Amino acid sequence: MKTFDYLEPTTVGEACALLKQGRGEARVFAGGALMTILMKEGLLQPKTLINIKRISALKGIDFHPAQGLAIGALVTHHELETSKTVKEKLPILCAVEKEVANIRVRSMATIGGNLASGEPLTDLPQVFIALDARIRIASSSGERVMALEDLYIDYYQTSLAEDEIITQVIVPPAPERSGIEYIRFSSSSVVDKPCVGVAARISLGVEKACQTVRIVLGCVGPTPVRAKKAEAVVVGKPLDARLAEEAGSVASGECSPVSDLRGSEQYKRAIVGVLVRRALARAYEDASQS
Amino acid sequence: MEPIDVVEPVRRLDYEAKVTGRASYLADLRVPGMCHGKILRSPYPHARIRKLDASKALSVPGVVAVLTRDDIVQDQGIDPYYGPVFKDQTIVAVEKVRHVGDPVAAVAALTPPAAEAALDRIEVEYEELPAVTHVSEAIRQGARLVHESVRIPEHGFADLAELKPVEGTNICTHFKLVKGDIERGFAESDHIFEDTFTLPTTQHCALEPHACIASVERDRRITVWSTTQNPFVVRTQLANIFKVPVSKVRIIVPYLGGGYGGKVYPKIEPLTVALARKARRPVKIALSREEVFYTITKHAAVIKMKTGVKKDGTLVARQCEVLLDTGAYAEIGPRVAKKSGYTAAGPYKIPNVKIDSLSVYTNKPPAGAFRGFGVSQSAWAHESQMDIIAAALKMDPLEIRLKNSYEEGSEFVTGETLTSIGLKDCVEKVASAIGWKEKGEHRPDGPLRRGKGIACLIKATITPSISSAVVKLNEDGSVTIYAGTVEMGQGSETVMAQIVAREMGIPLKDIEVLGVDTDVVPYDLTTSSSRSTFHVGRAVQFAAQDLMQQLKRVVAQEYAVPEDQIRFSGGKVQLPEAVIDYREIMFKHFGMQGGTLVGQGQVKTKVVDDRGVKTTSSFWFLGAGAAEVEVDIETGKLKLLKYVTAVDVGNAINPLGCRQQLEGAAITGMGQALFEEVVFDNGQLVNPNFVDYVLPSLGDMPVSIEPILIEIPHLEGPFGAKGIGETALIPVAPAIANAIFDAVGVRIKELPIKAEKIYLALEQAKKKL
Repeated sequence: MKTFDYLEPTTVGEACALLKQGRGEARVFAGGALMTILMKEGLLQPKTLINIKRISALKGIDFHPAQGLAIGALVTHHELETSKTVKEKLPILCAVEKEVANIRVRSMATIGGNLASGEPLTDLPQVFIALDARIRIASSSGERVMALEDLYIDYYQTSLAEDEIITQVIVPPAPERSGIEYIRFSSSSVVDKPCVGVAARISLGVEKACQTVRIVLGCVGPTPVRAKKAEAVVVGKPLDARLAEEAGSVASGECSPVSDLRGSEQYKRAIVGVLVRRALARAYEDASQS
Repeated sequence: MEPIDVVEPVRRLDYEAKVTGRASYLADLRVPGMCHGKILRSPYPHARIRKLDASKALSVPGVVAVLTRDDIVQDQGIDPYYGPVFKDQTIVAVEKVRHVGDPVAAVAALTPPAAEAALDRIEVEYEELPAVTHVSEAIRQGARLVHESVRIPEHGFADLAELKPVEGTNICTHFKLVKGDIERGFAESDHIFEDTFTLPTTQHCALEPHACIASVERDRRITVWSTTQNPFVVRTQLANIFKVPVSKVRIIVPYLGGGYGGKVYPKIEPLTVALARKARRPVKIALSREEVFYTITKHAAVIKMKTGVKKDGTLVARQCEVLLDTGAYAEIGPRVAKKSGYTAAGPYKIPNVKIDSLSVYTNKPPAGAFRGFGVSQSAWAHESQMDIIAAALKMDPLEIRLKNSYEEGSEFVTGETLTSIGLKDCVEKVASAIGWKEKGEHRPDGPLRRGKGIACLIKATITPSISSAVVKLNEDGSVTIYAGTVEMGQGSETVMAQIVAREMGIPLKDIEVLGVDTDVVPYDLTTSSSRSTFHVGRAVQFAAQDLMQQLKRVVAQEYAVPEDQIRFSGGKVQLPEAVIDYREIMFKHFGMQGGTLVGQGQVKTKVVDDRGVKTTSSFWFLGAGAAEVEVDIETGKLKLLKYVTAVDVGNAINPLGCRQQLEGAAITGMGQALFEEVVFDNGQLVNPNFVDYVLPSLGDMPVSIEPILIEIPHLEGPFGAKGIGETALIPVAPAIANAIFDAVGVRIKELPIKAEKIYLALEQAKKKL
């Protein structure tokens, strides 16, 4: 590992200013789950490392009935997994977190880091996008809020500017009669990175028809992707086995997986089909019962 | 003399130090004046080195020395060629590099970053050569040669003397074994089955990567701290390379953070010593995880198995061709191939057998010993095929095994008689524990199907071999054990102490087992081949007995009692009219609080004993495993529900330790069966790291792993004990594959059994319908 300057700002403003000064050669460091690997491997050799862990404004989880759940960027996976607030308001996140990586990673890695990394083989982005989550972003010149869905550009590439930091994830309250399911599929060990991850949310309208549908496919392309054609298959209708099957088969054509250690392209498409069908069925059941 | 049992619950002697993190490993060690070494490695699988210029590296601040081929070729004090079987390795590459990661040069510097920076300044001009990266390709006529010629050492291992490289080919060795008449056997068979099975390259993934500190003194005395499983073999090799007597080489081994065969025979020791010699100060090299993958692997294999059977399931003939990918250097591959060959036909009575087991050079990192030593490869084939045969004959897989399996007194493929064979007990016990009778009763649950599978094995231990031990009685009655076994997590320290405790009747707390230092402990061949309890344990027992004989003479003399009236009991000596303890005897004998009595013991096993009886193995490993699995037929995803493992342990000296060994080996077997594979792309390693090389984790474990100890005492083991370290790993993969077949009717013949393989097999089966 090459030597680097190490700074510990205590405010977001200070951190953003330091990033700006770094002119692209400074990097944010929080849990270090990914950064330490990249640096040890020599894939990333920042001149300055800006540790944001002392910025207390980035910590904590809050819930407001109107705005929903606000998760600070420094919240770790383990905090999310074990948070009483989350368990009460959005238990799906706790369930998802139980399967993310392993306890050592969950204890160190942060939500903000996970989202900002642009790592395609991960779980949370799919779930958050299915929940219409937004992210709050600070920069040296101000603040903006955007849909998480719009953050991702390509493999490990996001629309964050050099001096920007994700400060918060906001998950709006779901409409009445909503159900959500996430299925993480590993093609080998349970702690391996996922081969495919599918999130499905259904909010019911009149009768038993699906009013809002989100199907988000992860790990099967450069970025998490919404299977909008598959969503359209289901919208406006009550879900049945045939429809779920059709949505699955449409979704498997809406992603762009590559063959790698975790499976061939064809296999991943097939798994997308199965998981979308299963996730929709469970989300629908969940929505119908709520 | 009756052995005295010390009944106390035995927890590992080293557990506290290890659990609290106080145990020190080589990476923790620092030697005064030490600098740090880093290795420049080949980026190509096969290339000629046209030019190598290290002059710029020397100018990097902090650099002490750079080692290149010039140093080892021109130095009269060094024989640059070495290797445990053939001298086909060099300290750093001389003419060619033969695998990605092959050492090309090394730098010693004051700090690791300085050494790394200097590596970047070494200029190497390569001429890339076509690479052979698969065994099937390597044995083809006209294949590119990995080695144009191979040097054979004058004094090699006795058991490998007949094996030589086949000139003009990539065949490193070819072991042949024939029993009966294979063609007649096939002619007499009602059915013939032919299948090919494959296993990928895998890595040991010991928690502790290889490390070494070397110090070379003016009088050419070499001191090496190393993470090695066989310090005495490393000592011999270093003495040969650096042309000094073995008395000038001292190897010290701290606790090892796991070995699994990955730390036998020289690894980075020759290079570290050469670099320290050049630097004129001690050098430490600690490999990164990635470098470990370049250093040693487990043999990938392609195994063809042709078997003839009678209608009733009686095995008549079996022909096995085992191709083991030994990588760029022979390492111990020739012995892996030989051992794989001996038992390639499985633990079965078969009148006609023909075995060809080859170690084959390729342009991949060297493959060597790996827990199971060639047998986990051949057992994958024979145990999978047993179920293929059973299915075709509509026989119960359990029944076909019991019908054919070895038992006490069976004739082995070599013609020798097998003794101390608890195989059927193992098979029956795992079947009963997995609920074999209820097999097939589980109803399909949505896309989920359940099945059960079984597998068994026989394996040999390294023979001939030598172990010695010394047991010292101190003036206060406490005892120190000097033995060459490396404690690497297997619990040997505890077992050696227990043996002395039982023999001498003294509590464990009064016994100290010394660490391994070749200047201090007597010779032992190797801590591998699951041999330590049986061989070293026996030598320790002999040493304790020798000590007690001496004590008896001392007592007879000092107390004027006839020897036949002296009894040992409970750590004391009983005379007709008194009971005295060891401390009193020592005081009386030496006339003061001082003095030492030294007992010694030695075990030497032979391939042909004094009566002319052939012994391929000083004892046999026998075991069985049974798995219950659940398969998701829509995704191919497998879940291991239950695993049972039974091993013939002889008599268990430390039953808790035995059960832990069995469980540990089974877990390693699960990784090998389901996940592990070093992936290559044109000779480049795709996943030499723990992000992409997937090891089993707690979440992959079945709810229950049940270890069963089958205790059939072995006459020559200490207190009847046998070795057990490897056995339980071997049947795991075929037991799982057989359970998958039972669950969903598809046969997987290629490891690892990832979900996609099951999925594809299911898709293919659907198409056939």
